[in-house]
Amino acid sequence: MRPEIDTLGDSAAAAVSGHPLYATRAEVEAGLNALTDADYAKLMMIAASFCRQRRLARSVSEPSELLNQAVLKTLECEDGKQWNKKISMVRHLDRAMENISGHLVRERMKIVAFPNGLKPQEDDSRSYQFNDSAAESAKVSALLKSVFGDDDQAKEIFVLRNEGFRPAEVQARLRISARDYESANRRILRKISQFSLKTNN
Amino acid sequence: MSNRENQLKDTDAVFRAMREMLLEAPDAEVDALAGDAGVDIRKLSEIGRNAVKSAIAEHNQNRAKEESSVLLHKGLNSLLIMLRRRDNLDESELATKAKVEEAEIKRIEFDSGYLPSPRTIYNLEKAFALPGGVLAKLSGAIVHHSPAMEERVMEFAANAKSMGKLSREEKQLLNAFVKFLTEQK
Repeated sequence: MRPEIDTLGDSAAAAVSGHPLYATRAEVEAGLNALTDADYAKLMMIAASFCRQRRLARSVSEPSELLNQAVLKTLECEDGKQWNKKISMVRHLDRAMENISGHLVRERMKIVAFPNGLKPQEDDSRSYQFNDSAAESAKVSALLKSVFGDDDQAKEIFVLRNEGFRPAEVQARLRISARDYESANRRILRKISQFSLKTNN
Repeated sequence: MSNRENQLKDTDAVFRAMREMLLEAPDAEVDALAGDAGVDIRKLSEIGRNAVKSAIAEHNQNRAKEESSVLLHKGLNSLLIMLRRRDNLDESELATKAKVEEAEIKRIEFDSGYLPSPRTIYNLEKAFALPGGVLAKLSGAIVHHSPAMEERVMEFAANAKSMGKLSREEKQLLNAFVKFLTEQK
């Protein structure tokens, strides 16, 4: 679902030239200054989603702090997280936040796993991943339930979209009109943003 | 659970898919989305804008500090070379006189990122009979300094040469710079 190459349709990406591949510091700043209110709102929803997913306690990281860290790393250019101008600034910051929040989780795992100050021999964070597929499926179901509630149609469309089905294909599969699809799509977005912004700590 | 739900193999995949939908949401709908979530879009945007703004400000501040530190090191390199020339000492002789490694003297003179130890700075000040703190002010050990000092250091480094005996003008330049550093708090 996540394309590697974006269309540069984003307002921030449009503010900079196409070459070279990685943005200079000045281009990064121009890209950041070109972010719109809608971009900022999206970024905050995405940051909140990461905090919720990673269960980052407010004392560890606020969504705005996560965004702040992602921007700082991007401004460091080659010493931090370089912005590939082929993707939009918003999408780049999404990936930077994913990386940073993942790092915070790995750090937390080490602290929990080695409370006496012992160091792990290697990065063994994989051993903490939940491998029981049935239990994981139950978790996925519970998560979808908490996002979509009883709106089965919204949930169904969300799942199909995630499998790569195009809107017309989803409509055909579920035998719904374009209008119903659009209406369901708006409900999906609304439920996702409500879920992301809901305080969970 | 349907088979299709199993395609979302874990909760991370669900979160990722949700974020993907947010990323692709038309800008015109974002306002309503935030409103439906009981959040004022202007407040939400403002928090995001402030987070970005403060990151830019913090980054600029860090850069200015780094640039200033490199500049001061340049001043330290130039001053050390000029003092050696004044006293007609090569690196080895200075190392012996100041009781520091010759390699460290060379490093101070050529590596603008090198931060000498307080002991080295103290010994060098003694070896050149300088007032206390003159070299320390350029070593990065003292971080607070004025823009006037940066300007003066830049001027000194630009006019300092590394070879031969000091001319009268160079002696004046050196003495004036040492005096300036001594007077800096």
